[in-house]
Amino acid sequence: MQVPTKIALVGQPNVGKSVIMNNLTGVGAVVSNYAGTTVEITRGYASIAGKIVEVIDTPGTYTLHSDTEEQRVTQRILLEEDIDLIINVIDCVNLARSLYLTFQLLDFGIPMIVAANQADRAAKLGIIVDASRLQEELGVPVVLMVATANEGTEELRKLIRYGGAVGRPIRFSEMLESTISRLEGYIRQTTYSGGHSSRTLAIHLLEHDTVDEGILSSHPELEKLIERLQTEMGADDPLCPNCFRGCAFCPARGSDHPVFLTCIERTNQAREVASRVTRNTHRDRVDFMERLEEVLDHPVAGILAMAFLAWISFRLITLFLGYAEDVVEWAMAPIGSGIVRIVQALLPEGALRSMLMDSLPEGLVIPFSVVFPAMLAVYVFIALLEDTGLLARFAVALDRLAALFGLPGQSVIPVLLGFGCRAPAVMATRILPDRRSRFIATALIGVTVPCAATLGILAGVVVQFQANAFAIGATIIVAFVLIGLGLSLLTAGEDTPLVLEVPPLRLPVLRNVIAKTAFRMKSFFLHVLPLLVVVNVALRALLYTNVLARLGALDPVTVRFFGVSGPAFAGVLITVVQRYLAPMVLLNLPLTAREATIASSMVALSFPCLPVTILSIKELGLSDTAKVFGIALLAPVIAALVLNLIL
Amino acid sequence: MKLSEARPGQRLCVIGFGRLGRAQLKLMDLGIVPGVEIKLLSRFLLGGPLLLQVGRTHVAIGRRIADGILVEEVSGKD
Ligand SMILES: Nc1nc2c(ncn2[C@@H]2O[C@H](COP(=O)(O)OP(=O)(O)OP(=O)(O)O)[C@@H](O)[C@H]2O)c(=O)[nH]1
Ligand SMILES: [Mg+2]
Repeated sequence: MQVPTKIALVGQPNVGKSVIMNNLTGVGAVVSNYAGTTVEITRGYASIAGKIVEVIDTPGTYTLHSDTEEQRVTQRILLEEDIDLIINVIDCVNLARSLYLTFQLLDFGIPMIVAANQADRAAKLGIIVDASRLQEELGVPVVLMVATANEGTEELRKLIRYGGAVGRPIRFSEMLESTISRLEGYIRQTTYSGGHSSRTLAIHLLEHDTVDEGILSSHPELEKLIERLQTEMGADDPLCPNCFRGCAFCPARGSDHPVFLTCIERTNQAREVASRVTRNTHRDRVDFMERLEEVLDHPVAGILAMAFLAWISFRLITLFLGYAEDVVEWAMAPIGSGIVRIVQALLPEGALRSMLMDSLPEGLVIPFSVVFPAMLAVYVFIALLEDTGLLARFAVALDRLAALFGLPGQSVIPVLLGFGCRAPAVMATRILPDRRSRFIATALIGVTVPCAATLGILAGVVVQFQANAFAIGATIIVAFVLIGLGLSLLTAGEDTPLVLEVPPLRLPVLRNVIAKTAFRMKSFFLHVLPLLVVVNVALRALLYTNVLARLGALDPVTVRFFGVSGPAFAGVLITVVQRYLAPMVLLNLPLTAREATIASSMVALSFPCLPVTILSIKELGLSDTAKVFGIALLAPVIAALVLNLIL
Repeated sequence: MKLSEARPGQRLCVIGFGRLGRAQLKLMDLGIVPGVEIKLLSRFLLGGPLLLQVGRTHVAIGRRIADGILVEEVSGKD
């Protein structure tokens, strides 16, 4: 066997693929304790026996149908990427369920290694997995791992060197097997060469959905095959001809529908294999985390506890921000005066010099004194929610509330991530089950959720002009609710009910919290810092040259209807580029407290910034993104009209 | 009975499904198939989701889905 050149890490959600990815490649894939952390593939490179090998981390998927985005993404990797080794990561604690996907992967006929992860948690729960017996059952090498402690990584590397093995697919009952081989016969008569083994394709046809539209359209021979099957197989065939495509589950057939038969047999065999290769030992005590889970899962105590946690976190964050700003400002002061001295030394006296002396230090200090602490606090908070498993529990507890907005409970996850940065939040809407909820969630995130940077600078505005923070907060919440209710009423479609795995409660791994927070903040600061400095200088230039003052001509209209000056109104529009730039504009203008309140509220509810726009076009398409923009245009204008009347 | 009619703490055996369409596949992928034993852990208030134990995992499902899962109580000790 040769060292492989392209490896895919494939497995069910939340089993530890991304941790293993990081152990092998050091690439820094995001790791969190909920199903659906990885929504897009991550590529990295590992050095195995002196050879550079490409490793692909895939979104976790319970199965390989093509109902959802993560299933399609993973399936396409296997079909189109010339993968020469699959590392199937499974969870020792949930062996039976994990093997369900393993069996599907075996059908592909690609060499494979099974990484049986979370052996530590399994041992704690009294579950011992016998790797060598599992290896015999599957016909592929198996390695026990504790990825978070980097245990088993060396052995995995060694196995990778030998390239894994093509295992033994499971055999279904005679009835199913004979149908499968009949279908395989048909498939061999076509010219199809799209990466499916004929067995996988036959089973996929049997399970009806599964040849995803993208694959179908690039392989017209498959279209023809399906048409042929539909004409040649009669209605009394065990395979209803409609099943090959678009069958709405003929009500007459119930759960013996062929789509379900394969699932049932696969599940049953997975359970049998799992019970043959595991041993249960006696556990003497239920650990603290499990007790805590019981409390949090209680319908009354749990919700009270979570509300309390939310309140405490909010208090802690505000407390931290209060202290941090002073500390950072104090620490930054020498840097600011240093810059002033350098500018003084380099430039001759004049307008340019005094402008740069004001704007450069300010452009540097503001990001650090207000944005940095806000981001740090929000990101640490998010990381803790993610890693403990509380985030998924909030999703369950808030399911009913979210339903009012036409959203399933999972949408709590992307919305909350939006308080950090809205770009990854829009990506995370992929975990939502249908298009409608993805649209509503993206609109809510794009228009009403202020990211940490925006919140930080808005807090600066509130302090500088003594604006009414309560009014701003209330405006955001009211807008969120109204837009959510409105969209849920306006968009057609039944909401898809919740089906969500609730991860175990875990103690957050400090190293992971730090790494994740640092990673998220780094990418932000690399882009933001230069931008803020440039924009601040540009703004000052506009102020000095009186260009901004000309916008004062708009005053009669803007003051009358919206209660803010023309320049402030124009400044709000800059949110199209980056939302956090708009409050920077406000900081540079002479505003009254009332103006600052209204303008800040408008900033908090306006256009999605450029990165979010690009992502929503990618995720939702142009026309839905245009709708989001429509809402983003109306929301701040209406908010300003209303605030101008009531404040 | 329907799963939505079960009491928290009850151990149940899945016996079949009502009309769930594609959602039935999703349940099956999570290991909820006829013949499997599950436990109802809690029901959230105001028509909220139900929390189940399936094997070693916890799964939350909406009320409407729970209406489409048919179960039987399993007697015997825990
Ligand atoms: N106890 C224990 N926890 C682990 C182990 N491996 C991973 N975890 C934890 O499991 C959770 C999920 O890890 P990830 O690497 O994000 O899982 P994933 O498979 O990439 O998940 P998705 O991207 O959602 O599909 C994290 O909270 C990890 O800390 C392990 O070996 N032992
Ligand atoms: Mg991952």
